[in-house]
Amino acid sequence: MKHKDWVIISLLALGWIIFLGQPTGVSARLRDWTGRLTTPLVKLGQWIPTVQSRRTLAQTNAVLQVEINFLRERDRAVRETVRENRRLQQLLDLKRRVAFPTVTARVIGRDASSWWQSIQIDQGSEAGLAINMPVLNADGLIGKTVAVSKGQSRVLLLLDPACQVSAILEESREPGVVRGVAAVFTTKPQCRMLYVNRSTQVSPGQTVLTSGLGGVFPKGIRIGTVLSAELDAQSGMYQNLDIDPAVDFRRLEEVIVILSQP
Amino acid sequence: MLPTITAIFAMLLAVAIQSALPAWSWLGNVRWEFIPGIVAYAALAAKRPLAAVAWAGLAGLAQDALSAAPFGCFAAAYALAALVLWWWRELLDPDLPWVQLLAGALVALIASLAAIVVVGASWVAVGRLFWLTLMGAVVTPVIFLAVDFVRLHWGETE
Repeated sequence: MKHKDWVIISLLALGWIIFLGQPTGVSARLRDWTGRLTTPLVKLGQWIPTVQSRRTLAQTNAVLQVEINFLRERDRAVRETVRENRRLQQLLDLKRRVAFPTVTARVIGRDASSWWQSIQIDQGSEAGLAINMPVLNADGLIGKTVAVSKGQSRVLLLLDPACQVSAILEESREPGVVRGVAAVFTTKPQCRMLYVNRSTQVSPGQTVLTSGLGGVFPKGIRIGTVLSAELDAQSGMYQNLDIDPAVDFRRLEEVIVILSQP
Repeated sequence: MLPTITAIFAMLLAVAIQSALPAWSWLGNVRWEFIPGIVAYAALAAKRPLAAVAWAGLAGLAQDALSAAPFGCFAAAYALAALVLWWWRELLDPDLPWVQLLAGALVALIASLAAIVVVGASWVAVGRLFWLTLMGAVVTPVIFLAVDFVRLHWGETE
């Protein structure tokens, strides 16, 4: 070793002895600075994956994939159960509120043709159903039964022009008749309240209820809200109101049927 | 026997799918109807008019049962359409796509006219008739393909 090297080593050793002799605060500060520089590198190191064989990875991946699929399916089932539970809870609340005997039914089909608006439910005469019984859910009126067989029934929806309901405006108690509007290319199913007195003040958002007249639908079932009003074009004697139905007819799953009225 | 049962099952399945599909607003609030295509196929393939009418009537009754339509409404309409098509079958080559298209349109048109007789005429009804006729025409060649495939694999249904 050369003489020059000895000098450098001696200087470094001296520096190290001086460094060790420093007060604790100085070394702590130095440690802190060094730590700040190295910590990001340590964190970066956590992202470096552990090297495994390809075969092991593939096996683990397959097992995890199966587990993911299973958990997804279970998650979907749990969500569906929660949703169903919520709907049934609403129906149960409704059944408690309705003063008449009722039957709960599931929707099992829609109308096979494009000319009528109806649904098929899984309860029939065996459960006590008969023609012209009101059908509703927690949101409001759905329609009435038009055909009943032993284990199933067909319900004519409020949206069908053939289904007419005697109705009143909740605030003004003004009567009218609600019926479906046959329409092509509409984004939202609508129905209309006809024969409303032309002098009645009507504003959008007013609630429309069944009036109880006519003998089919009990009084006070929510039908929908008023969207707009216009004077009857033909006679000019009445107002016709566009109604936004309270029920989402595209998403009907469970309904209740009111069996009889006192 | 088995092909007949298969054909009946396929027809009922078609009606069930038809009733399960929603009526989309972008599709003019009408649903895809497969029965006109099946009726057109049966009418053009039948050797005897009774067979054509029987198949059409059965399909119509199945649709009537799953609809709020007066029972027998579509059965009568499809039977009439099948009879008309069977009459013209000598002049028509069912293998040609445009023949299939027109046959489907005709069946859908007659069924729609029958429905209008019941629900009443209006501009909306006319619009729906036009739209359903068009959709019947579009669906029918696909039905022909599907039924040909079934017949190829499970034998003749006559």
